[in-house]
Amino acid sequence: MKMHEAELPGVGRKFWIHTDAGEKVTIIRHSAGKREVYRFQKGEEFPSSVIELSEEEAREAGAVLSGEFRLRTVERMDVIVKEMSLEWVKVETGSHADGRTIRDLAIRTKTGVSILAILREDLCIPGPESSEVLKGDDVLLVIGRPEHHKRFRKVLAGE
Amino acid sequence: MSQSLLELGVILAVLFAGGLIASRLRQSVIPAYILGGILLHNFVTNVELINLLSTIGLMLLLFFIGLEFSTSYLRHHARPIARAGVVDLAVNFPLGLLIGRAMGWDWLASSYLGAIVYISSSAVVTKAMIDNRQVANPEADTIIGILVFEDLAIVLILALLTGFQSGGVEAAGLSWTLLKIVLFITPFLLIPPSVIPRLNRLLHVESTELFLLMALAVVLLASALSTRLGFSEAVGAFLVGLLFSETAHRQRIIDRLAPFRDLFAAIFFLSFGLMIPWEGWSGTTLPILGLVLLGVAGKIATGWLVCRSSRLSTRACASTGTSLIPRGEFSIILAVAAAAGLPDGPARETILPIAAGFVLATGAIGVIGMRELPIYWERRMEKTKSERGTR
Repeated sequence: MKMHEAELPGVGRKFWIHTDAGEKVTIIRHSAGKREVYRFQKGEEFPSSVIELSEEEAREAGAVLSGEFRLRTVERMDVIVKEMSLEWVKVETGSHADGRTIRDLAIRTKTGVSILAILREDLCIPGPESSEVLKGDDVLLVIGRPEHHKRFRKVLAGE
Repeated sequence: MSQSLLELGVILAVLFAGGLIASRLRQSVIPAYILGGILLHNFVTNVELINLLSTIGLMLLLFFIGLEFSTSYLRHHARPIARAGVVDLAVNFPLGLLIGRAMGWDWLASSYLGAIVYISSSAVVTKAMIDNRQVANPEADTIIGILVFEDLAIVLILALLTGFQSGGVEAAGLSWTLLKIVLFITPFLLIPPSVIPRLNRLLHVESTELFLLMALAVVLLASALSTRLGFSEAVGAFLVGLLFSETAHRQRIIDRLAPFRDLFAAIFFLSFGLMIPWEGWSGTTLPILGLVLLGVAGKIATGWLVCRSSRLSTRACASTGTSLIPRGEFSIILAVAAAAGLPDGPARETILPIAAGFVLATGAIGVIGMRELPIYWERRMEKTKSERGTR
């Protein structure tokens, strides 16, 4: 872990990280709530800029920085969800797909769907690699638009 | 009764107005509260009431210092804090002591003056550092370390000086005072960890109302015990705060009592100004001027001495010293304790106005210095850069 932490009595807590770019980024979490982000350029003792955030803003910004942020605009989510659907598709034994890898079938480029998981006997393989070999009786969890699903079924059957 | 209400109302209004102006000028509110008190000296008649309220303010101030005191910080950085803190004490305490002696004061009164000059204001300095966005700078740790050391030092100094004051300074009185300090204070500094869970259970009071009453009762009783033992009430309040800071209820106590601290502490600062009659200022100009000059120089020198050993830049060292210049609540507490206990004489009569002038001047100089120094430095750096560019 590159992040350091220290107490600042009367102020709050201090966190700092030396970035690969050679800068120091210091975050002050004030006990009064506000957060500050200080940027120190290489060899500088003065911060070249300071960003002040409220607790709420800091939480949002932190979620984006850590990659946990999801679009919260509900209307847009609805549109996206309407167009996309999840489907369970079984691989028939002896079919074209049986015994071939996901890469061989070029599923993503040819059909547009993504295989989210494979259920094989009692096993679940989440986010399978493209080198994964599909087998008869596998159940695939697939996400895509309706036309993608149609193409996907054709590819599985070898049409 | 209606007269007291009117007086209290005016006091609160003056506090509000003064605080508002100070915030607009980006200054600490403490000097503004003191000035308000100085202005109102001839207006307030119910001195007894104000004195009681201001004593509660003093207790709550020190109670919070104890409550927010970070023993873990002290433990983690014990060595650098001790080194910087001792330099700070060794440089600044003698300055006030010498001026006191030069004015013909006795050793006890001069020691009070030494402590008044020595102790920087945690409240004013911390606030100015946050306002100036200085807390992430490399020198901030040194400054905060010194403030932590001073928080502890002020309590010991208060215990020693008020103890000597009540116990006398001859051999028997001295040793009795020292023994009392060891018996009264050390148990609080060396709290066995096994006590804390028991304390947690004891303090667990569901009702917020009853919790508040209990906390206030404990603070007041501990302070009363402290005065019974011959120490300033502030000592007992600090020690109880320190004890509570280790419990699980620390944050709840802070949340509940902070508004009371704000109210009563403001009255305490005002009442300090109130104690100074307008004619009391005569003859204090020269000592104040001398103390301010030495007090500023002493802290700059401290910053320099402390900084040199920690390989910080010239700028950081200048900033360390400047940031330590503001004196405030602690100097006032010391002056009030001195005025209450010193024998009649010139020291007792003038220590309040001298401390007031000193606090007002160093507060303003320090806060303005902290704000202007980085601006000055930036300009200087740009100048050297452009000079280098033309060459």
